Amino acid sequence: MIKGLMDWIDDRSGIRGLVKEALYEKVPGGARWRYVWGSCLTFVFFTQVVTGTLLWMFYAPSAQTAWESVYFLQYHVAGGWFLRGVHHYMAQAMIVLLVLHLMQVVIDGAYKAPRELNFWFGVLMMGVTLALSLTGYLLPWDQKGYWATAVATNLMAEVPLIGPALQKIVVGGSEYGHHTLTRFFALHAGVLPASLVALVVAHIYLFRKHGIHVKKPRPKRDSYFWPDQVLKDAIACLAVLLAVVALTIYFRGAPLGPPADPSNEFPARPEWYFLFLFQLLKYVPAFWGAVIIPAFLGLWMFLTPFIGKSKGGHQFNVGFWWVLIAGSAALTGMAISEDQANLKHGAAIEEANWQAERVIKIADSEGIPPAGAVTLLRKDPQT
Amino acid sequence: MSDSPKKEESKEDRRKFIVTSTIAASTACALFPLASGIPSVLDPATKETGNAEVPWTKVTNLATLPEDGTPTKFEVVLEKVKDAWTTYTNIPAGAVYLTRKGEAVTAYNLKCPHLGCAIDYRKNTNDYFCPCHNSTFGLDGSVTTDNSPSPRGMDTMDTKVEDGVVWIRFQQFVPNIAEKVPV
Repeated sequence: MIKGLMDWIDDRSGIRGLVKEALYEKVPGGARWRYVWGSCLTFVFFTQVVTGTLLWMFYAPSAQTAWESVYFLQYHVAGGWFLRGVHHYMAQAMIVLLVLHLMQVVIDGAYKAPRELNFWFGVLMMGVTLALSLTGYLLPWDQKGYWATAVATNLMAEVPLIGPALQKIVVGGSEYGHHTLTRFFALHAGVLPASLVALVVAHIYLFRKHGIHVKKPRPKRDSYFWPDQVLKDAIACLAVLLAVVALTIYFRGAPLGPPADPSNEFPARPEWYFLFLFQLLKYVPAFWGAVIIPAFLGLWMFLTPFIGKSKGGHQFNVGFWWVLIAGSAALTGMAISEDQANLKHGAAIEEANWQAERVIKIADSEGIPPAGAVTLLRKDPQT
Repeated sequence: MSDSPKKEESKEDRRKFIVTSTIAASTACALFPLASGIPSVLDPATKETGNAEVPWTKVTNLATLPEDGTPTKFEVVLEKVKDAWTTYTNIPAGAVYLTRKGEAVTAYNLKCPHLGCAIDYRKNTNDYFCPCHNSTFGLDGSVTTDNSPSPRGMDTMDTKVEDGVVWIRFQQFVPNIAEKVPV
């Protein structure tokens, strides 16, 4: 019966041929752990699309409802904290996996001809992923997201000629409010994921066209994607999944600070993977951080396949990327240690944490008025 | 030279183990994202409703109601309404038709018990009519035609008159079933 149904579907769709082609790709030199990163990233992106769509059912993008709807999901919907936590920590995992994937490609020289185009697609996907992180950071409309996004969008104004107009277009006006959220949400849940899907399709097509790049063929026999490589990929994906679940349970979901309040200052800090840029802006003018350095990195990534044509060029590329990662790590470390040493910063964070606990307590007991949760804090004699 | 049958068998066992493990791990990864949100998505269906104490709400003064029993429509302004995270105060939450017979007042919910459209009062025929699917109701709220799609008469709710003021316990009911069950 099942075989009959499968035959019927196959006659009309050719699905068996498609599955066979997808699974029985040759893996020269056999399955290896170093090939798992691309599959892991696809799995993480799939998880983000599914959990993001589910979060969409609860999210209300406006200045008076964004924080409130996230609060409601986090504290009053069964499993809401878990769903939100998985989405939050998967986003962090995606950044880590992107760096691992990029470094594997650079070290193995998989960016060289004829794979230049695919390398550039990968770089574009990295940019889209970072834009997804940036837009997602604002959506809960808490103090942290609000003040950090203000910095990010102010940097946009540094772009020559079109900067100020670009900033207004992204922010939805000259002030942050309803239209900042509707635009960031449309970017985060629509434009950017759709772009990423298109890029993933192109990336996988080109990957299949050129096959796996083997750096040093091991004396092992060639094998097929199914089941040997798929098993390694699936184990790696499971490891990512377990790490994300562990983080979600340990931290009891994603953090939610006090609601955004333009009249109540908060020390703006981006997510940890943007801290290097934050620290860099202490030493270089904003124009460098917003335009010169990203333009230089973009040009460098474009040139990477050409520089890597010679053996020395490839070694230079590998060295450059290691220096870039080490530099970013050093700047991140400096940003963290400076904040830790800064008593005023610590006190501000403690104050914000207290405000978050307080507003949740009041919202739980009194409910939230249509004017939004921020009014609960403003009217609260204790804050 | 081919492998011995024993070696072949262990190779086959190893492959079976790999395939089973791969399918298990891949299935876990594929199902996890959706599974992580199932409790949240199903949350509204697991919440008990209809058991909460319904508060009395002031609607109008008795003197405003015609003594001949002609229905009059009033909006019902509730003191407190909670919609997910927002608590509204003094907000219109629905409407009722009130009819008076001496000192007694009957309240009919404006929503059709069929599928929730708003019911009209027709002056010329002196009855109630739902313009969506043509359910018709008499002045006492009962279904008046045999082929009416509404499975029950118009929904009434508790009323009381105190010091010339009409109070009701405003409620919504499950549509399209014969019994009147609060939502």
